Amino acid sequence: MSRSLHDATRNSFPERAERLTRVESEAAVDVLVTAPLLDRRSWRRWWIGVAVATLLTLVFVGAIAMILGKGIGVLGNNTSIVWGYPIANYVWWIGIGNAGTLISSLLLLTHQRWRAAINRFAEAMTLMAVAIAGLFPILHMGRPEYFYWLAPYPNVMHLWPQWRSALVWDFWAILSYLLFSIVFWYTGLIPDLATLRDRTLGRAGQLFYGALSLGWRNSARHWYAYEKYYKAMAALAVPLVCSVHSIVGLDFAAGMMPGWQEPIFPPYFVVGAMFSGFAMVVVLAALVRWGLKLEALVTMNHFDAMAKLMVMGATIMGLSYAAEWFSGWYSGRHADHSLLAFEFVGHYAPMYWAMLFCNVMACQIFWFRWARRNMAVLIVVAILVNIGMWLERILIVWNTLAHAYLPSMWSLFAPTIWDWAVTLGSLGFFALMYLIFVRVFPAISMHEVKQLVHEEVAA
Amino acid sequence: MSSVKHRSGQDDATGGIAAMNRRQMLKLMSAGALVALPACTPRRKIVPYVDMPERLVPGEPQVYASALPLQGYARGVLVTAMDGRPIKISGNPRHPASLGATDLFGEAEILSLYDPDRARAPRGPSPIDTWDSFLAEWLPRLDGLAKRRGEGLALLSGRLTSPTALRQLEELRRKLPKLRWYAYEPAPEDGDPAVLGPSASALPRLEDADVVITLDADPLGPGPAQLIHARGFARRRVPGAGAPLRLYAAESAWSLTGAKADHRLAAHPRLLRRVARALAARLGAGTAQGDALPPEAARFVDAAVADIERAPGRALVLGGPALPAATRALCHRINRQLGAPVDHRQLAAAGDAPAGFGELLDDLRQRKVSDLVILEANPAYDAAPTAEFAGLLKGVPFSACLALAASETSSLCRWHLPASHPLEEWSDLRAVDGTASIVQPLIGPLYDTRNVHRLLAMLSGEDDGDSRALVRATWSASHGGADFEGWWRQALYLGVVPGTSPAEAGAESAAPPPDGADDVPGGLVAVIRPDPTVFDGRMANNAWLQECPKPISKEVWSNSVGLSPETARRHGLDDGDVVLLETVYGKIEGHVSVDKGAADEVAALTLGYGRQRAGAVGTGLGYNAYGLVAGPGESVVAVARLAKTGRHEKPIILQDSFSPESKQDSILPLMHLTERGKLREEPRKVDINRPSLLPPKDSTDPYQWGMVIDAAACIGCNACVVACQSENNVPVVGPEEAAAGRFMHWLRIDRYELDDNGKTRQGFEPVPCMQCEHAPCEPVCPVEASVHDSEGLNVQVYNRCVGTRFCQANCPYKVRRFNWFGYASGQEYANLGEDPMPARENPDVTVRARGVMEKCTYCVQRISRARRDAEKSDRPIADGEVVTACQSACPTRAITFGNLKDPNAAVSRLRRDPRHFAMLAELGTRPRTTYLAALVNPSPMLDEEEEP
Amino acid sequence: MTRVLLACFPHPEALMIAVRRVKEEGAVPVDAFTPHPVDGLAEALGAARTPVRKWMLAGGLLGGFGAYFTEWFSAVIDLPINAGGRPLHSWEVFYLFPFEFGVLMAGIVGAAALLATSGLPRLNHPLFDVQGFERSSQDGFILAVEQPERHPERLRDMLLASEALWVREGKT
Repeated sequence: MSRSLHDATRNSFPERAERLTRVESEAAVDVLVTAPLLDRRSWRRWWIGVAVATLLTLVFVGAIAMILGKGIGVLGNNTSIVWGYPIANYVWWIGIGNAGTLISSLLLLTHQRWRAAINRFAEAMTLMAVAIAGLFPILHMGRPEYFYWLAPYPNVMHLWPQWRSALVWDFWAILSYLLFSIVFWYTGLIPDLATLRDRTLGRAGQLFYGALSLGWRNSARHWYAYEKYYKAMAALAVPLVCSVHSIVGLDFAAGMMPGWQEPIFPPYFVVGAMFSGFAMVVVLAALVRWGLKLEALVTMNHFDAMAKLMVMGATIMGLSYAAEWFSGWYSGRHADHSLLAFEFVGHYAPMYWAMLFCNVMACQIFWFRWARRNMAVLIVVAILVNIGMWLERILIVWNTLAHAYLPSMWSLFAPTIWDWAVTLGSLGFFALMYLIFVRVFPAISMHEVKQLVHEEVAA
Repeated sequence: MSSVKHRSGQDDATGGIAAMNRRQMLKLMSAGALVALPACTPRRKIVPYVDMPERLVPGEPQVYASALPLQGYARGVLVTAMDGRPIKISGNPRHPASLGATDLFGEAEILSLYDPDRARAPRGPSPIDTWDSFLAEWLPRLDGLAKRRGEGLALLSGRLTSPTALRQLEELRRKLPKLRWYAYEPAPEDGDPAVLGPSASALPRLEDADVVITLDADPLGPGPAQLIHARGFARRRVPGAGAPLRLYAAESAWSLTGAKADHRLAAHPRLLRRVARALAARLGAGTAQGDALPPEAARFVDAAVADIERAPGRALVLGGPALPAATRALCHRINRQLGAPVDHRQLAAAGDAPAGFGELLDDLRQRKVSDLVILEANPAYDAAPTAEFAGLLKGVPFSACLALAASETSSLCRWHLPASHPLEEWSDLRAVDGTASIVQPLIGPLYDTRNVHRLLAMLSGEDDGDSRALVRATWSASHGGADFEGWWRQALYLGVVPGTSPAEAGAESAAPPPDGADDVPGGLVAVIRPDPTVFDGRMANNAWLQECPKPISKEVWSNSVGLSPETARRHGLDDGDVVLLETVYGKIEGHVSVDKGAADEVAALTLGYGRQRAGAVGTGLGYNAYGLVAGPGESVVAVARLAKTGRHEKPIILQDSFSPESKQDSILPLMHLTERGKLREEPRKVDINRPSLLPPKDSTDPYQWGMVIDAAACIGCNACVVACQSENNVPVVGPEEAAAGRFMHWLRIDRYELDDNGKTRQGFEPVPCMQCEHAPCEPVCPVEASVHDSEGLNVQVYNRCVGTRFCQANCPYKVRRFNWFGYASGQEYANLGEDPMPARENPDVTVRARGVMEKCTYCVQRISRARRDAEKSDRPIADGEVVTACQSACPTRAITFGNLKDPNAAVSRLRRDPRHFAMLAELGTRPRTTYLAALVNPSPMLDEEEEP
Repeated sequence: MTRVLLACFPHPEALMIAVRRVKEEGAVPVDAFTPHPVDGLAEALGAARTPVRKWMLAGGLLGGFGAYFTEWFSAVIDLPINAGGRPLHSWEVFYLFPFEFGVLMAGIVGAAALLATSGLPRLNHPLFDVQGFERSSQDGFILAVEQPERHPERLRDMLLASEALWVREGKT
């Protein structure tokens, strides 16, 4: 039944430019979205994905065990470059984690209706990315077992956290953002869980989704409160998400190192985070759409819109870099001049140029409509952007710490196998969580798409 | 007391060390019962702890004067013991070869004392050996030797200056007249036994000189006279103290003297010889007209001669071991001609002179030696030709080697006799100027060991039980009489025996050896010097020394083959290429380090590495250059072959970049002195207290600590680095970790190649924590592990630290050190975590755990102790009462510490000095550690010429 | 417990018309159950009131000011330490934690208020027993009208005439 309906929807509604979806009824939405959860057939791709992701997750777990067991020294950090991969990974993941909330809140507030098809899996991406991001600051600590000392609690040492430290802000930013995102995501999911409860045939599924949906009844009163709440949450989420990445930027900008102490950092980190997050959403959207056969709901129009956002992001990134160079030059400080020269021609210059290409140049192809609608181009560019953004983060750490004020302490970083293991492993862990997510929860916000479909059909 | 009885007191020599320690500790406590006369208590009386020995308070340090040998010469030290464990060595201000300072070797002796690799019992032919079984074999042989009047018995030692050892040897010789004594020092030395006679010393007084010209000599470099020379040099470099000293150095490879020189000439040894001859000719001391010199060398000589002629009687020309004996004799003749400030002394009677190592080789070759006893020497490692010696040693019927730990030589001997550490037994030593000191033990022997005196007693068949009695016997002979006890007590208290420095002997005018033009090989030569951190290799198993960066190259854990850029290019070599270097005597393989200070056609090699059996720390590092030369003490040898092996070995270097770029003025400014010792240029206006938005924090505390470091005085000798390591329980990370760019030294010495109007000058800058008042590290710490105390210290709360490392990331000076692993707490390098190593930790300083940041805190434990002492007597802490470990070690007194709130304190006066500056002052961190600018005193002749 | 008539409509427009007609008939539309929010529905039912945002504001303010107070108390009163010469009351950076914490508290309190004011969680409900009620989460727009004492069949007929797919009885 699902197969025939799927085919029917695909064939009977040819794409129209002004339409975002290609389904004609609420029922069709349910069928399309819940099919992957309720229909156990044809999951080979999923199992292959799970196998690969599990392998990488084991690598991740192994690397973490090594770091916790033997000590943070297994990573490539040295006396001058005291930060390394975990910090870059943290900033990268939290950047990824920015886009989901932005899509679901900023686009909601600005009435970008196309977000409905992508916001759920983008939010899930946020959640998982932030959870992974939250692991890295703990992993990077010398004594990770005491990470909770950053929180104020009555303790025998009679000490409080140092509120002036960007790391305490960071601790609260990550924690708030993670908890807030969970709440936001879960409340958004409740009506869909109710739908699943009502569509599931097995007893176990009914119990599972029934419990998770908390007895949601789609009452008009509930919907009214829900919409008020949801919009208020969205209105809170936008400043929250901006503040989170601003604070990540302050982790560096509140310091006094050349290349870090720059007022542009907070906004530039927010844009960078959005940018990398959108790139990740493009990759995930392509995968989800292909894996869950949701071409009718996630259409090229969505990709077109996201590509436009990316070209905007790339341009702002380029401007931010230029602003960084300008303020470095304009500061008149030798250390900044020296650092700028080091960035462009020093040991990490190839990475720096690669970063500039990935983050600024690659997206410029999206000025062309054909590129915005070509899946291969979209995926390649999005992956390039993600690589470029990771390079940016590691270079922020490396360049400054490798080439700070005193030439006597200039140094270079030599990554170890554990640096790579914990970095690539985190991708595997993310993939595993994501694969489980798409198997258990509806990857697309059904009630919102239904509303969209209804409006589009009525129009 | 018989030796048997003594041994019964140490029945568990091979047993648990813990039991030993307790017993030793109690013994020491009994000794400590009478601090003024620590030796007067019978050593073996055990005092139950319920009767607390008077004046021994647990946790209160006790300080004793003693002396430590380097190349046989004493440096007077004060050793601090805590609850019976010696934990720190510092200089004895009353000792002429210490003047209150230490060198890195002296500081590091503490680690050697507790080295887990030390031999704990004799090793002989049978599976289990004791001193008794050694005696059982020796005494019958002694009978046989006595019948032959000692024929066939050979004793080999390093330089022996101990009056007691010499007395014992003399007595042994009387008993066995045909016994032969051979002595050698493995490393080339600045002193000139070949020229002046074996026991004559010529000690230059740098502080009385206006001009010093060194030709390969390295008075500021490591050695038994370093502390004297460094102090003399520093005294003459302070502006305002009259005409400043001007230092010319011509050398083939970097030395500390060369690094501090106002004019340095990188010269092939052949050119050095010609420079010496040219100087002699110009100064009227040479017989021949000087050779024609290349233009650079000619200008160097012109300027030096001009300065010398302006300073008659206040000029010194010092020749080093790279010069042939004839040329060194020429240098002495120049000094005599100039009436140079040199103290000539005759240290021992000429009759005592031992034979040299070459003679031992001859005797071994002719199988004249039946019994060879080696006293703390290691010829199988450090006396060329090492391979031949090893073979000959195997042919000796009876051989015994007294050594602290198993060595290349001891493993070839029939008997390895474990030696006591100088801190464990009584002895006496003479300094380079002849002053004798009593070597006082701070602890009973940790193991069943003997020192030289007890072994010599044993060898002569006497009671070996008491080194103290042996030493006292020596001195009671000359200082006998009724009040010997009083005299003895006084000598122990002072750390020097007054009046033992021989009177000036006046320069001998021994006929100079023939001067042949071919004395110095041409072409590519290897110039071999003692290593600046492991010296001659005797202390190669000392991890502090191994991890101490070489002053110039900053390399650790190995030595390298230094080649000038031009020479490296010509041979197609680059940094890290492993080369095969071959001479007619031997060959080595080592990695190249391109060295801008090396002369062309010179391979600059250092000794002390390539140990095959040094222990867990020192074995297998670097190459052994001893095998390349004709015999001990040789410095220059022609290189027959220098070939690339194709292998690559990245040298471990703790400082990657040496140029301050255009930041020189804010990192390490360089100023010029005038002829009258004034500053030539207007000092840079430094405003440490830059305007700030932060509210002023006026502490009401009476003490605000600060430190001023004089970069002009610092000679980069590393004594402070190791002193800090010793005082603050700073762990060693090991070569693998160091290769990853990690190190733990709380105090590092940055070296910069300073730009002086287009000319490069070396600048040393010790960098401890700056203790910034607006510390960038403090507000970024999320858990308040990095906080400011009321006395201005930037303190680190180790047990609060969670290891985010933001503090170090945000520190502009990068002075914080992170425990990437448990370097001191469970993940120690090699055997450094094994017993009895933990016994050397300073109990006043926390041993840091893994994952914790640590840093310099101005030796806060010393401040705290001084405060307690002052509070007990209800008085303020006096200026100079708190001395940091680095300050105490510094031979040039470059480091001054004190209370900034006291305007009359030395540190406050220095902060008003025109040379005063703060590193990176423009950042507004308001550092408490500040500096005085580096100084040069260039000759106007050379200065003008070099300006374009 | 109110006895209601449940009428299922195929699309929201039909539901809205039915609501108007029900009210014109003098009956009381109690509630409606729709797969997605329908504009104007809550207003038409007279249920357009919720205190959720007030709770969020209160939670956010309390969280924010509480956090600031914690900072001020700990840094100025309880543990005044010198950190890099910064003033004890470093208000310039003390707003960051309260902001984050305030937003978090607003979100959590809001979610709690949403559930509490909606009477959730409540895992079972009599409506779930009505056959076909599950369509309300999928494609059915269900109106619940208080069953009148008299002439319930008139209402039923009216609803069926207003495009209702079916009309059933239930309790709410």
